[in-house]
Amino acid sequence: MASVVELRQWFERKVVENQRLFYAIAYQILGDAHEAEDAVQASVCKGWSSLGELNDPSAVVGWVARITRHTAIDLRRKRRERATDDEELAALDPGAHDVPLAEQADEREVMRRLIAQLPDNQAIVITLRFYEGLDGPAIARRLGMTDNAVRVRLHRGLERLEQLLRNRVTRKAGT
Amino acid sequence: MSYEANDQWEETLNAYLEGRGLRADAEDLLMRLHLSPDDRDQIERSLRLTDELTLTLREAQPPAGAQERLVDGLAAHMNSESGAMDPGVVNRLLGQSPAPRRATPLPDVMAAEESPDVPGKE
Repeated sequence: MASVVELRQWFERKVVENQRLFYAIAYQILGDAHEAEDAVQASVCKGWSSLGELNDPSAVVGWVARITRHTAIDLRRKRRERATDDEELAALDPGAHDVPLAEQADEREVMRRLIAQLPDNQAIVITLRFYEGLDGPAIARRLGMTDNAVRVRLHRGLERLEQLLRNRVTRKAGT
Repeated sequence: MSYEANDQWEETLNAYLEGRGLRADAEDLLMRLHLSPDDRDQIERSLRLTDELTLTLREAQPPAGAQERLVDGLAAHMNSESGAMDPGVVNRLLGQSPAPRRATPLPDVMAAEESPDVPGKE
């Protein structure tokens, strides 16, 4: 008979093994170390309390990563709602296509904003590939996916990022 | 360029992008093959993108002590009333009584501006 203690140990192990991934996912959205840490903390607690909704234990890492991403997006939206200064509002809004990114914006911040526009599963696979340095099969094992599913998400994510970069260059050239 | 040559550079580039090949091999493509301007541009853009991605993503390093704080916070939550676990969940997730497979939902953290990923609809 499995025990709650065993489940706790299993979940804690997954959290510890993947805390860098969860942190990177939150940081992509928030761009702030302390907020990212808070988002990860809130997300793993939500994950634990919601484990009853998880059907496939092998998918737990991707599931918590998605919770983390959405928690970070919610935090970012609340931060934006608090902002009253128009300039600050524009700077915090990665999805504002009609607002040109500030000329002086750091290139990495721009890239973070573009990653934030990717669908969850593409952003998570790209993070595991280029942050953790894992190859396709290792990512598949980590996320409980097939190798082919990882390959498709990786290439679609990269294609989407290239397209977003091209759009940005076009927008800049037009201004 | 022959079909075979085209196939070869795409395979070498994809191998690097997927982590099963060396970046040096992808860079060598620019030196070794007679590429069309479009093919060369594609390879250069892919390499530039992966450089920017790697630099951007690796900027995110958890602060000192983050792991310990995370584990402590999680343990406190697990010990709290809101962290109580249903024994049915324990048995199901640890392999005692598997549930029928269905799409795994997210808990209620969906941001209003985002829509959930739908498998097969990327």
